[in-house]
Amino acid sequence: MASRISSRTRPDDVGMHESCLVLRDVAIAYGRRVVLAHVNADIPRSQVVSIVGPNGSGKSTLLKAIAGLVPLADGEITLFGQPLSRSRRRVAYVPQREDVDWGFPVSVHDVVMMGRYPARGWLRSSTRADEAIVQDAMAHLNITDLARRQISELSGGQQRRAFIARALAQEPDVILLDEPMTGIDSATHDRILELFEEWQSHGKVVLQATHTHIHGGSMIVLRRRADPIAAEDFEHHAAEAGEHHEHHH
Amino acid sequence: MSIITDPLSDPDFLRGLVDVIAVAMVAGVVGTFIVLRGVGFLGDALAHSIFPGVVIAFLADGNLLVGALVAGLVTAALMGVLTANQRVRDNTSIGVIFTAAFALGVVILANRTIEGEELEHILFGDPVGAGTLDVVLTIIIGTGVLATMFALRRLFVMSSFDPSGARAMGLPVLALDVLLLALTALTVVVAFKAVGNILVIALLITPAATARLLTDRLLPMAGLAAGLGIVASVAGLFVGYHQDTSAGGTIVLISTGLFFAAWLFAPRSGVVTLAIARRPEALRQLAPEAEAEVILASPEIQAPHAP
Repeated sequence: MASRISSRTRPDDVGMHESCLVLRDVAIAYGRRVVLAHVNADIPRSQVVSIVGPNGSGKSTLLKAIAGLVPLADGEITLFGQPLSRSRRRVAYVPQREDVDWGFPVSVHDVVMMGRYPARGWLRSSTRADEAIVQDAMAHLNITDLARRQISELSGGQQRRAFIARALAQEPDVILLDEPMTGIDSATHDRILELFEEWQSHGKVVLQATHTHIHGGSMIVLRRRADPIAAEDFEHHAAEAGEHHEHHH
Repeated sequence: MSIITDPLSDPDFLRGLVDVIAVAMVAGVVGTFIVLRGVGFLGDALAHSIFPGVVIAFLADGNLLVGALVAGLVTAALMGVLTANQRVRDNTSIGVIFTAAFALGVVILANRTIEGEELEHILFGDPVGAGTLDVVLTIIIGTGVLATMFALRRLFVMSSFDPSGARAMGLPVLALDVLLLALTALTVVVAFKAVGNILVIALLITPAATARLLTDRLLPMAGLAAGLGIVASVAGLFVGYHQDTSAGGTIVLISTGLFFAAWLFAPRSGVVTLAIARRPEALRQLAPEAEAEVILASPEIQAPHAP
């Protein structure tokens, strides 16, 4: 299904078992409010990690910190041993709906092509190779027939597909998605889950901030310290998900 | 024919013509981004901020454009410093700074005497009064602004459309915002001689807003905005010449007229166009994109596939 995409991934240039994304003692603060502290994670390749937790626990904030949108108050984040700030090109980020100006006049093709800018250079015209990657990414998300449509004319699910196609066109090692399952149709939901598995099998790391219930898979569970009931609730989910995981093996 | 050719034999008119065409082109392109980002008030505020520079230049017998240029760049730099800590779109702080600049101009003016006509030119424009230096400066600055916009267009689009995604890709979104502000300041500076300090915003916003009604693609919108601005400016200049009215005011009124024409009759979004296209008889001839099937679950209705 993903022959052309997979042929471009490079699972061999770094060992499969080596740590890919490492968060060391990460702390995030807004002004004088410390949102999160002492976050440690050592994520190898081929992982789909869900950042879960109740509202206001900092799911989106942590994801934004990994994306470089929120400065770290302490600690560091590295990708293949390099500071993440130096490997931005290897990270694709799919923002939350609210962060995008949907009325801006760009076509679906324009949006997906934006994924090629960082690698190609922002001042240079797209090449045939870029065009092929963009076509491939759109075909992958089943939006080829929407290529010339304005992003404003699309449904929420189609817009999400366009943004995920953009992430695909970036050919990243790490894909960060902020609430990717919110406000979409079930076909898009299923397609995104398939794509997660595909990315996983190609050695990539997928991180999603989500408030939907997750069955199985890796998780970063955030707890609000002022809110012990919600924290227990999510511990319960985590335990349940763990059991679920074992049943399958 | 003499309606057209007579003014063209007047070198003052010819200089004014070149000036307004250059200004309209730049204002259309920059205005496109101002309109799309919904920061029209920013352009207005910037226009106010160049006022003290113009007044000081006038009182010192200097070139008004140079005075405006200095004031515009100082303000843009000041904004750059302020936005290092704050967000550019913080309306309140922008409102405070730019009105303060305008007030400064008013205070400087208060104790001096300026002829009514001179003040009118500062406030409402005097394109035919543009000197050779004005026209040359306008063309140099305008070319620089357009070249910068064109070279960085992908960055401006990305950072306007999806600022979070742009920052995640490593783009300096804040610096791009400040640069757009500086380009707007330069546009306001070159436009002020043509339409004056008060009306500058109309040349920046109105053609771009009209173009937005006519197209939903970015490059055609920028081109259309420039074209509409040129049409209004050239027409306004001729009308002003023959009727001896304020050229700046006439340019803005023609531009506004074009806007309302588009608002009423734009092919896809015009109020009248839509009213005609949405008549029930017209709609009934179109195939719907989706259809509805109603399924009711109720005790009285036996499910057809019940065992």
